[in-house]
Amino acid sequence: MVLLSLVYDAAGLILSGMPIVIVLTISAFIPALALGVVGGLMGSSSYRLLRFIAGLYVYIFRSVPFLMFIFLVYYGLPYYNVDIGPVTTAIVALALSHGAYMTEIIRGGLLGLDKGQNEAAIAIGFTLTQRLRDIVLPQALMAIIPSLLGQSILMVKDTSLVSVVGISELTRLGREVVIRTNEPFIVFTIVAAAYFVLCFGLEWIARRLEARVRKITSRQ
Amino acid sequence: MFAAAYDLFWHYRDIYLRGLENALTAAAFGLVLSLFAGGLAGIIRFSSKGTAGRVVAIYVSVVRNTPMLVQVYFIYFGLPALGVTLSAFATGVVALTFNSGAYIAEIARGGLAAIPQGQTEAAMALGLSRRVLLARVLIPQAAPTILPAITGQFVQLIKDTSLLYTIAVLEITKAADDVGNETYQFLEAYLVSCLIYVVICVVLNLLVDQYERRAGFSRHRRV
Repeated sequence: MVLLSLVYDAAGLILSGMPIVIVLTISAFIPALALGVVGGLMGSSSYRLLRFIAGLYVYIFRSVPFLMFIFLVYYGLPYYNVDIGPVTTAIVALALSHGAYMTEIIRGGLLGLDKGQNEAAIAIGFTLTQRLRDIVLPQALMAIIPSLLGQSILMVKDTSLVSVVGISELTRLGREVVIRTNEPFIVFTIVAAAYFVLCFGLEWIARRLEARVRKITSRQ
Repeated sequence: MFAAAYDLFWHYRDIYLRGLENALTAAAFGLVLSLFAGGLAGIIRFSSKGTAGRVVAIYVSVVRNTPMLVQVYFIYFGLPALGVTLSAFATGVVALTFNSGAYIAEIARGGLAAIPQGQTEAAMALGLSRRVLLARVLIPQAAPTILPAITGQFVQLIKDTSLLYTIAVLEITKAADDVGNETYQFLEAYLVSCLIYVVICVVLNLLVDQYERRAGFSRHRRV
């Protein structure tokens, strides 16, 4: 009975960290996607310089651990007199880092798109903006929605690392509850379960969308 | 900024190099152990449709859907409640193995599943037992094709050693933190560590490229 009430109390406290995880993920996902679209377009362009810049961006962010990168942003921005507070720092770090992964995903989507689509659009006189907005991006993005959702799972998991700059998200709250209750085993099981529910849910949605996307793309 | 970072590195090279050594050691231990554990798990997942296969599937799902930081905390703070107390470094190796084992299990399963069905059918027709089929036909063919992905996993392991910072193992990130605390030049201190990670990655990627060029594999398997 004591155990049960402990679990109940701990779970309540820990779950209050859930909203910040979701807020961080969503508010970083949008700029990361924007970065990914720009990076993906650059990476699949015919100009070598643009391809090089996109490639370098991806390479650096794939080699440096995210934890390291948060510290770099956290200590780096004040160096240039930019003071944005820990939450914005976390969002910037998440967006920049995941933008690199999304660049690779979107580049893959763009390269996978039939060249004829773009050529036909040129032939009937579409401008670059029209081609991207109406022809290329909708088709390329549609095909990679499942991969983007998969990326959002990694993002949820990476939010656990922003506790190092002092944000009270799920993992940090877990540690605080451990200090208060001295029940690390139970508390971290609950924390892990909370992440599992979030990520597994996203994975489930991704899998269902994948089946639908495949149906749509095979119809074309 | 880079000149200051270089001075800092040169002055505190002992700390950085010890951090590098610890990170590489932990990652190497993690890789070897998770190759065994993950390889075995992958083979079980590939060949068993029963309970064993399901257990592996749950293991993979748990690892993939929880942050590694929580796994580290669970092993470091949670397991002592069950009477298992590990040093910080040992925790790191166990966490890296536990985490990477799941990914290697998936890589191994993918490699085995990619072998044409005809190979299994031919082996069956020849009357080979399941054990011989695995040991002599499937694994020898899968191993070289998954090697690039395994190297990718090693890069991931080295990146994951950064999490050991949170339980005070002196690795590359902690080295930067220590140097920063001593000199108050945090940005430069972290920049040095960043560059160390990039250099490790560049070297490993060059090795993979070399291997792939020799073996003539396509690059699309790279993680």
